[in-house]
Amino acid sequence: MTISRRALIGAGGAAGLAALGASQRLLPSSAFGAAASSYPGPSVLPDPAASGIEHIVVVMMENRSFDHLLGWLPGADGKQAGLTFTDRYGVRHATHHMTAFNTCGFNDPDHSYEGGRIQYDDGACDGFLKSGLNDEAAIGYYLQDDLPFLGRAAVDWTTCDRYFSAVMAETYPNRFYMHAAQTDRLHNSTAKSTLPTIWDRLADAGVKGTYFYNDVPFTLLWYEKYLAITQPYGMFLAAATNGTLPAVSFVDPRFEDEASGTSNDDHPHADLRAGEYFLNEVYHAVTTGPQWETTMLIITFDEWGGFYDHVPPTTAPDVSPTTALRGFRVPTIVVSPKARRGYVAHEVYDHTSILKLIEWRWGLPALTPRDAAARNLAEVLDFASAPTTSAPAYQVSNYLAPGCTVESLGEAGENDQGSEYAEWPALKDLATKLGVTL
Amino acid sequence: MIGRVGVPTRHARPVMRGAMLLLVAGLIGALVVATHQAAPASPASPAARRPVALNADVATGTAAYVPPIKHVFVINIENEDEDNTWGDASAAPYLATTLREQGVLLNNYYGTAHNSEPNYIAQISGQGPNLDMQLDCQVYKNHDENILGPTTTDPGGQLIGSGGCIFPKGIPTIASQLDAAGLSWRGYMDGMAAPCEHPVVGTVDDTQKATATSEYATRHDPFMYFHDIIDDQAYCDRHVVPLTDLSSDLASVATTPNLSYITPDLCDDGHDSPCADGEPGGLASVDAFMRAWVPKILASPAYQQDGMLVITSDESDGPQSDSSACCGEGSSPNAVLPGIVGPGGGRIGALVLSRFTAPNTWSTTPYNHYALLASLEEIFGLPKLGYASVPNLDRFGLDVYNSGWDGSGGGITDGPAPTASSAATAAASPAASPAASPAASQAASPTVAARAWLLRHSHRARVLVRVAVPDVAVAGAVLVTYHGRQVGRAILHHGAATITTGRLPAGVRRLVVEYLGSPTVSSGRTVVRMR
Repeated sequence: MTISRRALIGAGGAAGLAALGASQRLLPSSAFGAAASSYPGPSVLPDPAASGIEHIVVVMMENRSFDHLLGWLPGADGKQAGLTFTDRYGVRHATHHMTAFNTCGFNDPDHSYEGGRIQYDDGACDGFLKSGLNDEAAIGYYLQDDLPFLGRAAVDWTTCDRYFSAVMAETYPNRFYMHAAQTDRLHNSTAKSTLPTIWDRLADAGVKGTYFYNDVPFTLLWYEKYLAITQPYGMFLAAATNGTLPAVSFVDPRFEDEASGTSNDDHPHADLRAGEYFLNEVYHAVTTGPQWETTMLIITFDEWGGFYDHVPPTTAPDVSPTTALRGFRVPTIVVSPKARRGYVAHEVYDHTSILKLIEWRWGLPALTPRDAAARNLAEVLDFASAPTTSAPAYQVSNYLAPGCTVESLGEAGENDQGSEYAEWPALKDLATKLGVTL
Repeated sequence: MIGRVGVPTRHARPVMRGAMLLLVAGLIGALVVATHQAAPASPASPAARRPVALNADVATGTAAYVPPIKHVFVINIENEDEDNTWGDASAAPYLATTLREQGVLLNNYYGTAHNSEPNYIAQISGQGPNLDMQLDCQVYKNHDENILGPTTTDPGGQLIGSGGCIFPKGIPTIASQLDAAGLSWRGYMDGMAAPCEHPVVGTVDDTQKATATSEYATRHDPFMYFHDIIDDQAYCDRHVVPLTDLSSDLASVATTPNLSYITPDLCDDGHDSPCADGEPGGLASVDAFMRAWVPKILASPAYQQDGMLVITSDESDGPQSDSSACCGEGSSPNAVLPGIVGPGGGRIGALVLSRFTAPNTWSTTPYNHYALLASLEEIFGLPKLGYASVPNLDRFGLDVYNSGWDGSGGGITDGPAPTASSAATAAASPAASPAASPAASQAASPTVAARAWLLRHSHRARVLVRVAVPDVAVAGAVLVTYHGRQVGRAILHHGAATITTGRLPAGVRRLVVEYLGSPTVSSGRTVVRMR
């Protein structure tokens, strides 16, 4: 299915009105793709060695849905104002514009394996106020002007409006999919994983891959196995600046401390301004670095975080029917000299589409039936035209979130079911236990 | 005289209920609009940004989200963590798979204390634990008196008293509440030798350990800890009976109590393994018990008509295994840590089966035994007792009663863009599609048509109902409800019935007419506006 940007604006309705307002405020920079035109559809892929892609950088933020962050995007299938959801007590609530950059004072929306299925409701996508302790925050949304980085990058580059989180489950399962095209757990836990990963495939082929972390490395879930390819975030900035990026870089934000709203990973209660600054820092390093011409930067989110989204996810070939259902859509933006400027791609992708891209580029075997069957994210690139290296610079102020006041933390407090507040400290404890100095 | 504060007096309650119903009936739209406008308008004042409670705070009486359930069955097994009972590797496959697939699993359901006894007490009275209760009442003795008098309660209704187990006369339970409301209840105790079996007051409880011939445990029979119940022998004998009585009581709607509280014995509840009588015990014996009894319950006329079955555990595997809590549970007047080493009884899970629940679904909202009591009290239109009356405690809502019975259909609705004026319409307009219960989707779907007239002189309504399916003689029962509260009922004759309702609160304009279905015709409903 492809929907042209113009057609959607013309169709009017709530989404169209919001989009029109937004695009009047901030049209794509004229140098980059200029007038909105319809997405030509997936590209025919070239010989990967001649694709011009030598470096792939994947940044994975936390816990935001497509409608919640990017539902305003012109040309995309987004819905914001004008939806209503029935809560557990039969009361209907309308979607609303969030009034603050953090979600202090609200509960962390449920995004568990089970809670996601309540929200999904066999495809009706109407259960966002019926799971866990979800409150009004779960059906709130942000507008373009709220987002100093994503509000601009999503318009300027190629944004996917059918990119789903890989599995209808919380953070760890989705991050396992990002590394391994499957998960060995439905809920967050620090049990040792033995799943084969893309890092194994890269190592087998002699291709360099590095995992960069801010405070807690996800690769620790394989215990010592990937310590050699796990490096602090500062090393990523240095590599991008010095032109020493590996072939594949995964870059993770600062996960601690989500509960108090001081992380920069966008996970509630985080202040979005901190995440926006982090994303712009990565974007700036990549687009101004000496290897920019041959780099593809992908910005995505691990899962929807319990925030509403109106598009029902579908199932995919998988190692198990238990995990075949994808999670709700997440915002995903592709930035590259070969990326189409100002386009919205409408094909179905999930995290394993990035694995498929990496495997295609370096001739690696698939990890599971999931990535084997996934669409290759390379297909959103424009291989027919000459690459365009110019990239707009965005002004995003550094922002250190002061965090929520104690009074404004959610009603559930320490016993906030469905939240992941305890998981990152647990992983950090594991590091200490393993004798890893972070 | 009971020194309770915090529960409206009998005198005030009907007024309160009327007011609440009116509020629910008339002002939901206005409330929604108010919250909607509050959210985007006000920039970040902490007060305005408190979580918008999803609690339509109905203190008493049934509410729109409570279906017309009239028969509740509660079964407690013993000492199992959520994953042990309900996980993929459960040693009780009939319970964890066969039954689980028929209902909604509440995977964030918590015990309220350690060890066993206070959890059962919580379910029927809302009273928190003290140390003797936490130690399972090894001596069957009265609650300590304190200088303020034998039945002094704190403002939340908690009995003040640091030791002892048997609550003095005047401490209410859901049993006394049901009596007062003209509703019936019975405790069915597996392994009980004779009705109302309990040790002599003031002696060591000799049922703490099972023997080859007796596996009844007084500490799992909460009714035995209230003088209101045990002091009247005839009353107690009538109400707390051996489980074997359940079979005959299930025979008809008339003989099935509104609340059936079922406790398996120390073997059948999984507590022992192996059991004193040589059975395997653990979850294997739990499964055998469920296989023997649950089909009887599910097949009973009362369950089929308007029943709900709740299966849960009293507590997690033990204080060391999981003493977490949910739902704001904290210290009680008589126990700093209800779970001995933590605030609660750990995550145990609960399964709810009913024609008002959808098969093989979840509710992830945190609940505990106090929330269960509050939910049962909402079903039966009773005031909330003890910790069940804590403000903002979540009760079962449409997350549990998730069959679509309420007719609201899908909760996501495209409306006009929320300008200040149009948002009200969008938010307040209910989805109008009357939905047939999916439970009977194999059967023919009827057309339910009704007209209603308000009899102003008596504040009752006369409702004319016709339920039709082409070429089928429709039989069965019809309920008339107002916000989930039954106000009339009739049996169809040739697909039609005329019902005169009970007295209605002032201001009622709409009634729900519900056909309960039959083996050949699925259920259906309509909303009728009174003339």
